[in-house]
Amino acid sequence: MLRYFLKRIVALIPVLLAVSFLIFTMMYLTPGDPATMVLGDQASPEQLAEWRAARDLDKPFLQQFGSYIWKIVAHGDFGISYKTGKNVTQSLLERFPTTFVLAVATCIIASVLGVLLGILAANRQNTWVDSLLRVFGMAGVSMPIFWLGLLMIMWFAVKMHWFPVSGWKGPQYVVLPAVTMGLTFMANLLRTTRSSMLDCVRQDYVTTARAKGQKESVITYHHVLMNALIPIITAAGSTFGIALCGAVVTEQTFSIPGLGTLMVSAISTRDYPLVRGSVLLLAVSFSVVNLLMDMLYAAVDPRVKAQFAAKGGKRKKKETAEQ
Amino acid sequence: MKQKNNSIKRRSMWGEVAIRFMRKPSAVIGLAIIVIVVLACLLAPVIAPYGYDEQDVMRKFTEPCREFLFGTDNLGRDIFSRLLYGGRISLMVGFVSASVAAVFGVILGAIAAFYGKRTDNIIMRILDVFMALPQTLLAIVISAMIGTGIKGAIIAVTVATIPRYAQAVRAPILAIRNQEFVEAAFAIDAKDSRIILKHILPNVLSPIIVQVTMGVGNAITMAASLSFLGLGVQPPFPEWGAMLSAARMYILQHGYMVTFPGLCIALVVLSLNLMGDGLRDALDPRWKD
Repeated sequence: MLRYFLKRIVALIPVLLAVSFLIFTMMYLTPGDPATMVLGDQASPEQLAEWRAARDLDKPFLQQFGSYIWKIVAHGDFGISYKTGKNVTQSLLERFPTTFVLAVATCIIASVLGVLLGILAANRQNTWVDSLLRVFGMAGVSMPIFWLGLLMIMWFAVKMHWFPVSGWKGPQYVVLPAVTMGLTFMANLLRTTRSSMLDCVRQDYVTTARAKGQKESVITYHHVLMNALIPIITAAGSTFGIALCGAVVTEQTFSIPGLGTLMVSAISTRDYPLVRGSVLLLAVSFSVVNLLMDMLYAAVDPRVKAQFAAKGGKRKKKETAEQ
Repeated sequence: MKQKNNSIKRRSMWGEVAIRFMRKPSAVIGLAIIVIVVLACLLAPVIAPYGYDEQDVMRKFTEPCREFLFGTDNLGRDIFSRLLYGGRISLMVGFVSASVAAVFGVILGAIAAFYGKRTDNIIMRILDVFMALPQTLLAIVISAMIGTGIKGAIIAVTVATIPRYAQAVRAPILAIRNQEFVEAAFAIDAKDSRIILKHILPNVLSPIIVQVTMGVGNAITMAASLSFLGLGVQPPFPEWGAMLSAARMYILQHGYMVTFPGLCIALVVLSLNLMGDGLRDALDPRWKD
């Protein structure tokens, strides 16, 4: 098991390197000279050259990339913002917790709603409840997050005064954005729960439980749901990763000072170190979350373990052979 | 009785699909809405009571009424007319980027799955890198790089969605790649391109069609998100996302400005998803759960 985890972690490194290369290249290829943009047209060639030299911008492309990655890995240094002159790492660390909290809240809401409604849909398979939930889930996916967010603001903030319109100053500020994202991401969980439950309902042990007169609620929650949980956990995990990055649009809608708003404002001011840093941080967290979920999946599901034993771990293979 | 038998015999595969599709009310409703919206947008110059940039400053912020069906915006432009013209942009961005992405994605996925081994490894590893970023984030970064505008939005959405199509087509091709009819084609020394185009792709057409149908909706949402963030289509073009972005400032006093553009996006995307869902069941009855 440990070896499987290590293997997965090691496999992540080239992907992350490639992703940072991709992001770095894209920013590098963006038209426009950052030095002129920051210092203005009036700046003398010497000033421009000095500014570029201070940021390694006069070096060849690969060397620039190399030193960028080295600084991140060795010192956790994402560079200096072009516009504010502030350390990018510091800005990222200030903003990341907000986005993280939002993603966690979203994930909880989406999971609770999705699983409960999924159970309902599975129990009432092929009835009007099932069809209604199907359309409901699809409507959630189809609504653009920012529109749903704006509607939420209109109804629950402007008309009802239940929640604040925008900003991020306390727990009550989390509700609307998290519910907005939760409703959009819930559909995937609903579908997964439904189909996973339906797979389990047909198993023999469920029939046995029914035959011995077990209560229907116990069958649903104990026999069926517990065994249907593995795909649901994976779906919840991927929801978390998507929420982390989907927060870009939601944060913009609710004017939340998170990583997403930081990135968008950095794009509009062409502050490339800041854009690079925030995109990279989002991409890394997305990949790490996905990896953690895969690991959790492997830890929970004995079949994955068995598969690994058959494929990779020689020692384990021997053990099973001896058995 | 005899006539009935004949009519059954004459039905083609697509005829069967159409009949199965029509049996599903939600899919038919989706198709109907899409047809109506597309027609309305195409006929915008005929239907729209005003031009998309026709301003009447005296009548700005008019609530929906008989004269202005969906009200007017901050410059006194008729929102209904703007939605009709804007639909042309939104739908075009959606259809164009989904089809271009599908073509590239299918080519990449087919090559990867058909040649396997090293080719597969290289193509899929490269796509893995793109897939390590969520689609919307990737589209944002690309559009930051190539700049704003309709063309920029189309390119950003296209590139961001290509990996999804490649992945969607790769798995089914891998599954049929070693079947006998492919082997037979190899045996008569058919060219690779012929085997892929004539023997393999027609057999994986169903998942492609479903993916593209739903992909159009996804592309419309993504393009609208880009405009909403100020990256995609820019004012004065009335793209639906750009309209929402502009209306956002007046949400406290004039909620109707926000309601209608969003409703258009949601309705179109929902219809496309319903259609895709219906197509999936119609194209392959085995998939039905």
